[in-house]
Amino acid sequence: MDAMSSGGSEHVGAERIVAERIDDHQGGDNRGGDPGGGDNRGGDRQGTIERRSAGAAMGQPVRRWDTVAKLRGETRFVDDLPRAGVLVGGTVRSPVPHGRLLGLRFDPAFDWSTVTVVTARDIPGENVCPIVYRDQPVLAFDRVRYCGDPVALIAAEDEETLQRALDAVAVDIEPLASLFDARSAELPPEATVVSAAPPVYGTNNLYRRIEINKGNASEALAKAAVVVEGEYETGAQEHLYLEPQGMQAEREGGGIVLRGSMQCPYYLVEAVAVNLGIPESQVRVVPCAAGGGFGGKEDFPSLLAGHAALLAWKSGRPVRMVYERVEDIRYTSKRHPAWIRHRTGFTADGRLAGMEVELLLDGGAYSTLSPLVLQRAAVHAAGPYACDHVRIDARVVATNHPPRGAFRGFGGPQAAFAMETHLDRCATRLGLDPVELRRRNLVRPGDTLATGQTLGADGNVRTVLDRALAESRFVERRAACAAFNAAADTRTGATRFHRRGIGLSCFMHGTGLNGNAEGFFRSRVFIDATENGRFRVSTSQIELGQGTETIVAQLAAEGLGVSLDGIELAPLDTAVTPNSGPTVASRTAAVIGRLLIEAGRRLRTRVEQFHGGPLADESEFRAAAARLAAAGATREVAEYTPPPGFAWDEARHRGDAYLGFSWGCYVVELEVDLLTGETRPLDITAVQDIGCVVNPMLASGQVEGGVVQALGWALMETAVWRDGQMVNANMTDYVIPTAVDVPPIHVVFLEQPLERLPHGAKGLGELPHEGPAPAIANALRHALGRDFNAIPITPETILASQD
Amino acid sequence: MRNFDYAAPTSLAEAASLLARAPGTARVLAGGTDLIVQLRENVREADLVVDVKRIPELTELAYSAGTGLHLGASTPCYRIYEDPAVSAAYPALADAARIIGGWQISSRASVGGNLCNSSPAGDSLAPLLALDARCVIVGLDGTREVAAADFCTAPGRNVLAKGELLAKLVFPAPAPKASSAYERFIPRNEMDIAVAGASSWVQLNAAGDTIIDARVALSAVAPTVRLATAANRWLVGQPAVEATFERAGELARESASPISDMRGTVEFRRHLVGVLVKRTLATAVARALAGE
Repeated sequence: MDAMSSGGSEHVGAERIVAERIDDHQGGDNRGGDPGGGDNRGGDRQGTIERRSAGAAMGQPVRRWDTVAKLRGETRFVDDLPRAGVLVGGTVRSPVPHGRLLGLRFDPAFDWSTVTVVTARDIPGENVCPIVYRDQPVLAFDRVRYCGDPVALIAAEDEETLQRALDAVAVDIEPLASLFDARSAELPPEATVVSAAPPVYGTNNLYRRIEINKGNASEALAKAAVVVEGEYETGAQEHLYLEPQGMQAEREGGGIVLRGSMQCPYYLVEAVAVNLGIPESQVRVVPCAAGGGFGGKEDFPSLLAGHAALLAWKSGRPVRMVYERVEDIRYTSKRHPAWIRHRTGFTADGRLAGMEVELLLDGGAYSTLSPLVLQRAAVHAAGPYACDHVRIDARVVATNHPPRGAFRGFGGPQAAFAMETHLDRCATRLGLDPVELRRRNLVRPGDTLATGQTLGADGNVRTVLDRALAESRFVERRAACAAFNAAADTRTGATRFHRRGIGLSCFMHGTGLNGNAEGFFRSRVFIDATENGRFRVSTSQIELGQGTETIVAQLAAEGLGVSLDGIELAPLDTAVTPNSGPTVASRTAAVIGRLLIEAGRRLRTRVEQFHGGPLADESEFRAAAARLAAAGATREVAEYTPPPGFAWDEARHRGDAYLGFSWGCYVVELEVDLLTGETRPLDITAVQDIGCVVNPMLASGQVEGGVVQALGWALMETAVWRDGQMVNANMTDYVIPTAVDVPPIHVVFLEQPLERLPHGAKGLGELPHEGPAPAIANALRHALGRDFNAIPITPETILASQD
Repeated sequence: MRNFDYAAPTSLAEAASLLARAPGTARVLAGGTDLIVQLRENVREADLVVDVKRIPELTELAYSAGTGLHLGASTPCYRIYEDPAVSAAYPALADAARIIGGWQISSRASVGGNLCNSSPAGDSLAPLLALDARCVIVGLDGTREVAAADFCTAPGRNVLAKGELLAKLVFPAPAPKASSAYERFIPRNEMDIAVAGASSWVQLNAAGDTIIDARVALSAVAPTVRLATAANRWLVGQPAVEATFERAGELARESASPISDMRGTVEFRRHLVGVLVKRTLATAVARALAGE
């Protein structure tokens, strides 16, 4: 079956394992094998390519295109741009979390003629950073809302002068009472401000409330045989991308050009045009190589670009702003802390009767992407389960913490942690095995999710669960853990105090942007034939280390029916590159993939028409394409339009919340030391259905990386806040996992293609952040017989739970 | 980071003279794994940085079973754990040297530098106390010695006066039927600052069933690394069995005066002291019996 080049229909019902288990960090070994009888495209992680058919590039474990340059140190990041003539920019920040900004005092002892200073008064356009709402100023002017809120900018010839200048500015502030507890942030509508501070946002500190209603949950819960309640909490998380935020701005003609590290170049075009009060056509964005993002470079670069642009605009000189690590951690966004309450009703035989979920996110001092993070959290709050009566009430509120923002999973991991940890507690109450409880309630094709979205043939989540159980030998290992614990007293030495447990989680992640947002962006890609017989692909997707460039090339090659060496990628420059939307929301393989395949197929047809017939041989096809290119313009443009039947009602939160969903089931086996409270994951099995695996090697890398990042979030990453400032804002004190903290991760992909897309791909990048935390909490529950309803579950938490 | 002057003397006398005559703040650069980071982050300032790695005595490692170990103050950690004789004679020191940073760090970082940084959480400090090391300090007026236990005076502070530098550490020759161990607790498996640490040195009788001498030292649970004096006194004459290790752990807890910070609370640190003392005593006794 070669469904990739013949449409998605043959995919239906086909389950293929494309990447077999990857054991013990050895990689490299392709054990193949496929009980489903489909073809095995499984790959050697070293990059050996087994072609399914001549010219097929998709599904192959192609080595990342950007690897060699990065290993050689040839890749140029923003701080590698030439320094000659470039000013260095810095930020004057609020020292308090909340207050009225009375003014700035500039020490007369400093020679201000040597530097460029920008305050809110110097902004020629609008003083706003446009993301979703328009509440965040580029520079605070009347009020500061978080510790570090930018109030002025300075550009100097060198770092030392800059530092002296920054030290010579005093910020006069009348402090206001600060709001740090999201749970008490929302003010009642009739509230009158008496002695307390004015709201951080609007009239009541509420950024957004989303209610999703399906059936009648309260009635269903009233009639349910068993009702289980629970409250769950997750903490902030720092992205710790390798490369800190950085941007360089330079006037060019009547406009400005920005170079830097970012996920969404076109966000910057809008933001800088708004700040400078110039047309978007006058703003050019040329991204540099980016050293990681994880969502942290979705919204924040818009603010930083505004800062750099304002300094360049006023000084007339190129200005570079690159954050040091401490500045980056303190003042850029974090994952939203969440408080989630479940009330779940079951029938006597353990079927879901009704679900009520209340979800609260701490959005921090400005809204940034919070309204959208809330939307994804809300849609994912009831998990991949079939239930006719669901009520989800989700809010995101303002506090005086630094703004929260996008982070891999975008609200989904918080929702999944609560749902899956809750379900294991429900199973105990019902006297059911956690696996059996899930098996009885997981969605099937034709079922509807909480928003009423009807699942297609790819909605078979039991397949994923079954595969994870088999792959992890779950039942056998669960018994082995219990036996290990029962025999503890017969052991001597340290292992007497060790306990083992195994737990799992089932979860989902919506592909691409929510609801109508994909339609709103109307993403476009170009493919041009060139006179050298190759095809040049233009998108605005950013290589962040996840392999975007490589899979974009593979997807274009698939559409064209050529091998990868027939593809070249056009450099990204918003002056000429089409806007294919942001590099976020696990959307590139699915959404941009569709456009690349469509454009590629159309270009192939044109070449064949030009030639006068089909061209099976690749070299003949490419020769014909070169002749077509020589004869004139050959650009194919593909533009996103919602697939037929796709319908989302944004006002009521009903309908197709996403194009589709990826499904996952993760299993974690771990060991706990009762004496120190240390948790040591022993083995992780990660099974997921992502519709179509474009590159099994890179896909495995995404899963492994996501698992490790989630493992840190679940077990160790603790952001410590004091008066609204993160005090462990460095890599010494903010502890993340290292390579030796990672157990073997067995990665398995299933392919249940999404019928709405020609290649069937669903999102991958964020999915692996959803599964590990609840599987860890459930495994700890199995090991110790106690609930763990909040993360991170640090050694101290575990010791405290024993008291 | 502020600009500073840099000097790389080739003799102890020259280094002492540079340090004594520097007009502002002079700082010694050994491996640089603490100092360079502190200068870059403006945690510490320097007008003059004196790189001591070109002074031959400071990177000398000389061991013999008869005279013990003379360890130049800027000898990188890897030379300790890659030396089988030194590792066998002073296992606690090797335990610490092995876990200070990753390979890159342990190729640069030194035990002397770790001691001079004088963090109560420094991994090699508790082993120095447990192993009864002495610090040889050189100044313009000559040389003096202090016990490792008396070197640090407060977090980040020590007995070095202006114009003085630590030249080497001297460890007594290994005693018969004696061995040692160091263990720390961190919330991940490598490359982190100790929440608490303990090092134990024990000497057994000829039969190997009774402790005749012991030194337990604690890190990250007081303003300086310190000996667990009550536990050490009590251990003499006790049977070398698990109940003894457990009781010593409880006694050692009384010697700890930790603070609560973002790495751990007072209660958690005190609890860890008991666990780590018990574990390191058990390891040290097992090693002594195995003839390490």
